[in-house]
Amino acid sequence: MKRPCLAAALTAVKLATSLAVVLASNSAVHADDSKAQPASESPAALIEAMSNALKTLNYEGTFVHVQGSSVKTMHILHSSDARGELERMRSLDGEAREVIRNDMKVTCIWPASQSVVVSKSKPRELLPSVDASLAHNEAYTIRLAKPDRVAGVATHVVEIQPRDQYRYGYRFWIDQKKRMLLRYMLLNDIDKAVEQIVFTAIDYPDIIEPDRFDVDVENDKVIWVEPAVAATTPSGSSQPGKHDRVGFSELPSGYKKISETYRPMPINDGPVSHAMVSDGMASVSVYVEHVAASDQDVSASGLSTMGALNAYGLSLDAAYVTVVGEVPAATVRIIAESVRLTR
Amino acid sequence: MQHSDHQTLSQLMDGEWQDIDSSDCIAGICRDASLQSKWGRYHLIRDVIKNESVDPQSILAARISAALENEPVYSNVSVIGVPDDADITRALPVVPDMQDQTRQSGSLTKARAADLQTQPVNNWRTGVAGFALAASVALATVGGLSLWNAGGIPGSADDAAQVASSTAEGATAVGAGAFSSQVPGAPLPEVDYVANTGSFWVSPETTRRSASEQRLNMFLSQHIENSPTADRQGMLPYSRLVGYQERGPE
Repeated sequence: MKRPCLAAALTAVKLATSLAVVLASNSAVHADDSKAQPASESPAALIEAMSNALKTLNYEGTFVHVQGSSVKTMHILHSSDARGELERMRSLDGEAREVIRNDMKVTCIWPASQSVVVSKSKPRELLPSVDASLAHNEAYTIRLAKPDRVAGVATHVVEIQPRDQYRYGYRFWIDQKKRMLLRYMLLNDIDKAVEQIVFTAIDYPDIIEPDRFDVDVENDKVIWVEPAVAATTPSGSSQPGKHDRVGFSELPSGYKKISETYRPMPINDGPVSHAMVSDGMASVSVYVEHVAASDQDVSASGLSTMGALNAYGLSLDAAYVTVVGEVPAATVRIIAESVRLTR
Repeated sequence: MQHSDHQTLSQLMDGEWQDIDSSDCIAGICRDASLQSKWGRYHLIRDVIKNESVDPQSILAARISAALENEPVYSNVSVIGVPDDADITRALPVVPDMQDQTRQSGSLTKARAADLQTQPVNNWRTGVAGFALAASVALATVGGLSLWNAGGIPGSADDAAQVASSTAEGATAVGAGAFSSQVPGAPLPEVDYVANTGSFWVSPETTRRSASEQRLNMFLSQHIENSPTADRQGMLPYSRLVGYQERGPE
């Protein structure tokens, strides 16, 4: 009996010694990382470089998505060349859902319901513009935090802190060399993570074969759902007199309306007004269904929550308002309650 | 044992013989059993640090062995079947007060094991217990390191026993709540349940699933495609859709 105990004791002592050595060497690596790769760019410039890297790099990796009490592991494949971007994301847990995107369309594959939903992808250049630089955004303060490591890669850490309770805080872990986003965290008003993604492995292949983005169409049981998408009418040139314009009596500080469209939705009979509100960092969609009160689906009235996302439904006399965004609950409620429709 | 003896012994260990009378010192060690014991421990510790082979007959090794033999047994192995009494005692996490209980009742009975078996399995609870157990082990390790660092080399004849004792206390202090979660009737550890939402829509007022999830998801996918700030969020917007759960927690 003594020998196993002795062996255990000695192993423990050795482990403790090794631990001390490992801790010391880790600290040294940390210190070396921060010395080796000081951020030569401002934090705002790092965020811009990261946004660009997400679109222009070839990358393949596994990441964990934590949302509320749910944890999902996912695989992502992304390529970018002169022909455009290709992206394929697949859930590695539970139902093997997939989203495949190119510049033309978004294909969502839901194996459990044996359906493939295809919708039109909106070219980035057609999106409403926001101030790309966060350096002068008065709703947030932005700063560099202590460097860190993610998936074995040295990262810069950029913190974006809100100045009030109407928006989340953000924390970005950015690959010091590739400028790729390796970890992303949304923080509530008490600095608690409400949603985050963390890469556990990342690779940057020079070439990714295009056929790796092909949809498997062998399964003839799959139902393809391709909703007819009418031409989107840009703000200002929508059909006058056919519907009310979306306005706001009072938006939370820093938010402003940046676009409005009028378009059909896959599950709605009639077109829906879609206004986009943003503070330069977060975006909120305001959907207005132009239907009489008696015909409204009020099942989503009030607040609904999914992780960091909040939605608020509100019935007006001749319209039903739904506000969706990755902002705190109070923000979607205030925005929904401030909607005013004008001819 | 005087402080000067410690100092002299350390100097002798470190080869700093210039400032001491080494022959006197060695003669002193030969006369004093406690110095002999300390001399042995110092060598053992040095050998362990240098990763050299260790004499299993050393006095310190014997002390640690003895201390470990008297140490309560810790385990995070759950009872799966209905083992015999001896197996139950080995499989259950045993803390000192539980040890007393075991001593008083002689041993845990099969009926008790059956009770444990019929307890509803609660994965997060087991997880928390496992985590707390790991934390207590970590504390014990760090505690050992702290003692090591603070004292340099253990200084009294009872050091080994003290380390073992403080390890047991640390484990009990941190882990008692978690261990008790596996003891029927004991209060559960307080758990910080971060959110009641996962990747599905709920009404926070009622914590019920939203009755209009299909519509909300449709709006969400449109929102993602049209958000001018989504490119700063990387893969998060679409991973919300991919990770969306049709079914909430049971």
